[in-house]
Amino acid sequence: MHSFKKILLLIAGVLAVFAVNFGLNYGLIPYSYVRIMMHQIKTQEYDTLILGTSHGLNGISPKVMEEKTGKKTMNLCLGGEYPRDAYYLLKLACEKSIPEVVVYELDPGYFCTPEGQRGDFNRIFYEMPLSRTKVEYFLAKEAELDFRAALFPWFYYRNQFRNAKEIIAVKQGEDYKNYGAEAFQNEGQSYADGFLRNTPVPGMKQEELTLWEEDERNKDSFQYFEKLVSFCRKQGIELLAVTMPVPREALEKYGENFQQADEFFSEYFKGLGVEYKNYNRKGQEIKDFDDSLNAFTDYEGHMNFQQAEVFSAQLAEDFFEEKKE
Amino acid sequence: MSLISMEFLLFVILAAAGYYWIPEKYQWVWLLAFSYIYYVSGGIRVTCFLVFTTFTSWAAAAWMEQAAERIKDKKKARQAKRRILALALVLNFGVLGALKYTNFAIDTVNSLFGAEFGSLKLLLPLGISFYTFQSMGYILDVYWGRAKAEHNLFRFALFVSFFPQILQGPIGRYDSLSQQFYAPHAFSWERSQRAFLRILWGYFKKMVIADNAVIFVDAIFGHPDIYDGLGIVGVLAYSVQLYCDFSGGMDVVIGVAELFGIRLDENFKRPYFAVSITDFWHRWHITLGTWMKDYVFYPVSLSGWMKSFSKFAKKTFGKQTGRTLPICLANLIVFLVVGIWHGAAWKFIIYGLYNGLIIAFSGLMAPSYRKWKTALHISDDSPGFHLFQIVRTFLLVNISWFFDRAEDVETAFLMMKNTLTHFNLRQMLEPGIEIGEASGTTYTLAALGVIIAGCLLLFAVSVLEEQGKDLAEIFSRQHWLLKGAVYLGLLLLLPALGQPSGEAGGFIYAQF
Repeated sequence: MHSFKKILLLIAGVLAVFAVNFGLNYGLIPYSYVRIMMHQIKTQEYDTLILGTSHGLNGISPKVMEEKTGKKTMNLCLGGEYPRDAYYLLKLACEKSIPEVVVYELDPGYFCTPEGQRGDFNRIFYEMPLSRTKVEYFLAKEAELDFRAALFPWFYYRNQFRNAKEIIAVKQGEDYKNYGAEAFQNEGQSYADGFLRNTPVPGMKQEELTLWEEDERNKDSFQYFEKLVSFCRKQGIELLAVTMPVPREALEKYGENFQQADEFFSEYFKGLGVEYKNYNRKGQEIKDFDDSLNAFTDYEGHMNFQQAEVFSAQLAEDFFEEKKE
Repeated sequence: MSLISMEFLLFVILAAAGYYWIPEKYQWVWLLAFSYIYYVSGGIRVTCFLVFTTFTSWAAAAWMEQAAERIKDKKKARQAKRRILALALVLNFGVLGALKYTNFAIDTVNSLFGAEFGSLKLLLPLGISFYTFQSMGYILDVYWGRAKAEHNLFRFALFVSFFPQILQGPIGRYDSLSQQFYAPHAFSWERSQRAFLRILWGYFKKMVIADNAVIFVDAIFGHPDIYDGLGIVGVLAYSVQLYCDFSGGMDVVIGVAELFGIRLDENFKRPYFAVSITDFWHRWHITLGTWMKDYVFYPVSLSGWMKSFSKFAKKTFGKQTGRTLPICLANLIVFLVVGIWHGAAWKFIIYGLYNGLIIAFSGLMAPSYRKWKTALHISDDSPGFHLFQIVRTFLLVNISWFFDRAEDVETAFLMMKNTLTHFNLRQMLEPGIEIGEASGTTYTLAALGVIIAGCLLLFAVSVLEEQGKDLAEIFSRQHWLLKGAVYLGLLLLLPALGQPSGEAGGFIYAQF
C-alpha cells in the first residue's frame, strides 16, 4: 500500500474515533451546573469570586453576599476542587475581568490528601472553554491523569447509558442552550442563586470526614495555593481565606484535630499575609446560626440552604463591612 | 510519568516523531535525551542514583578492560578485575540494599530485640531494582569476557536509562540491546501497526481485566475477617490481576520500544500454561529468571565451595542424590534472592523460599516420579497428564500468591486456612458486605462479567499463541476495514469496560 493511502486511512481512523467519542460524550455526560459557571465567568464581570470545595458550593450564597456588599459575586466552588483547580479557575475568570476580591474557602482535607478522581474534578476541564488557560490547565493537571480522563471524558459517566435518552433530550432543550438551571431543581438539592441549595433531609447523616493530617501534607496543594497568592498579588486582587463551620457534633468529636488544623493554617496564612477566618474557632460567632447537625446534611459540614444564607450574610459582614468601618 | 498518563502518550508521540525526523546517526542521542527527560520528570534527586549507577558501571567495566590489557600476568590481571568487580557490585547493590532494606532491617531488629529504632525516610528511586540488575549484568558480562566494555559513557547511559523499560523492565542484556540502540532505524508502517496493536492489547489487559479484578482483590485481601469465605475468589482474582497488570505493562513497554525499532526481550510466555514451577519461572518474568540463572545460579553452582559440597553429598548420599543436592541448594539461594528482590518483608522471603523448596523437592523426587509414572503407565505426552500438570502448577502458584499479596505471613496462613475451612461463596451476595464496599469501590455483577469475558478472550489468544501462531502477523494480513474495527473496538473498550487505575499510575511492578 502506498504511504499516501495509509495516511488517508490513519486520518479516517482518527476521525472515526473523534466522531464516536463526540457522540458518547454528548449522550452520556449529563448537563451540569459547571457549564453554567464556565459560561458566566467567560461572559460576565465579577467583583468578588469565591473559590473552594463542596462546602463553599453548598454554604456560600453569592446572592446574599451581593445584597450585603453591593459587589457582584460569583461562587466557583466545586466538589473535588483542589488549589490547583482553583488557581486555573481564577486565571480563566481573569481572562474576562479581574475581580477585586477572591475568597478562598479552605477545607484542610484538601491539603493533606492526594488529588483524586472525585466530585467534579474532570468537569472543570471538560466544560472549560477553549482558551490559553485551558491549555495550561491541561498541561498542569489533565496530562498527569489517566489518558482516558482527557481523551474519553464519558469514561466517568459510562453508567449513564440507561439515561442517555434523557441526557440528549435535556441537551437539545432551550434551557441547556441558554445556560439555564431548570435541570438542577431537584427535591433534595437545587442549583439556584448561584450556589447548590441543600434542603434539610431527616434521617441518618454520614459521619465520615477527612481530617487534617500535618504529616500527610499534599505538596501540590500548598504549591498551587502559593501560586494563587502570588497571582492575586500581581493582579492587585485581595485574597481572603475562610473555613466553613461544621456541626457542633463534629467539633465535639474531632475538636482536637480541628484545633490543630486551625493553629497550622492560621500560622501558614499569617506567613503569606492572607487574612483568615475560621468559623469553627471559639469566639468566631455567626448570628442566628443553628450549628446543630439538623442544619447540615452530614458531619463534614455541608449546610442546608437556610443556614447557608445566614452564614453568607455573616461572612459578608465580617470580611467586607468590617473593612468599610 | 505513568505509562497510563496522557503526558506519557504525548511524550511518546513527540519522541517518536522527532526520532524519525532527525538524521539517523543521532537517533540514539535523541533517545538518550528523552530517556533522561522522562526520568528527571520524576525528580532530580532520584536521578542522582541513576547517574551514579550509570557512571560506576561504565567506569568499572572500562577499568576492568584496561586492567586486563595493562597487567601482563594473567593471574594478577584476574585478581585486579575481581577487585574492581567486587567494588562495583558492593557500591551498586549497597545503594539498592540501603534504600530498599534498611527499614526492613530496623523493623526486624526492633521486633527481635524489643528495640525502638525509628524508621528512616529514604528515597526509593523508581525502577532502581531494574536498572541496577541490568547494569550489574553488564559488568558481570564484561568481567567474564562475554561483552566488550562500552567506551562511550553516553552510549552506555542509554542502555541503563532507555525510558520505556526503566520503570518495570524487562531487564535487558547489553549485547542484544546495544546493537539495536546504535543502529539506524527507518520508519516502518508495518512495525508501527504491530506496536500500536501491542500497546492497545497491553492497556486492555491492564485497564479492563486487571483493574476490574483489583476490586475483588483489595476487598478480600484487605478484609480477610469480613470475607473469610472468599479466600479462593481473592487469590484467583489476584492471579488474574497480577498477570494482566504485569504482562499488560510489558506489552505497553515492548510496543513503545518497537515504535523506535527496538526489540526488547519478552518477559511472559503464557505462564499459567506451565507444567511445573520450574517451567512457570521460564514463562513468568522471564528476564528476571534468566538474570538469576546466569548471574546467581551458575556462579553459585560452579563455585569452589559448591564443588566441595557436591563431592561431600555424593559420598554421603550416593551418586544420584549427591548430584541433585547442590542444584537444589543453588535453586534455594536463587529463590531467596528472588524473594528479597520482590520486597522488604518476610512474606516475600517466604514467597521466594516456597518456590525454591518446590523446585528443590521436585528435583530430588524426579527419579521417584519417573518410577511411579512407569508403574502407573502414565505417558508424559498424554493430554490428560498434561492438563493435570497445568492444574497442579496453577494451584501451587496460587498458594504462593497468598504470601505475595496478603498483608503479612500470618494473614496469608489464615486466609489459606479459611479457604479450606470457611469456603462460602454466598458471601459475595450477602447484603451489607458486598465485595468492594469495604474498599470503597463499587462492585457490580457487570465487573465480574467483564473479568470473565476478558479472561476468556485472553485464554483464546493464549491458546493460539501456545500453538505457535503469530497473531500479530495474521492480523497484519487482514483487510484494513477489519483492522480498523479491531483498533477502534479495543480503544473504546478501555473507557467502556475498564476501571480507573490507581492514583500512583497503577502498575504493581512500577514500584520496584
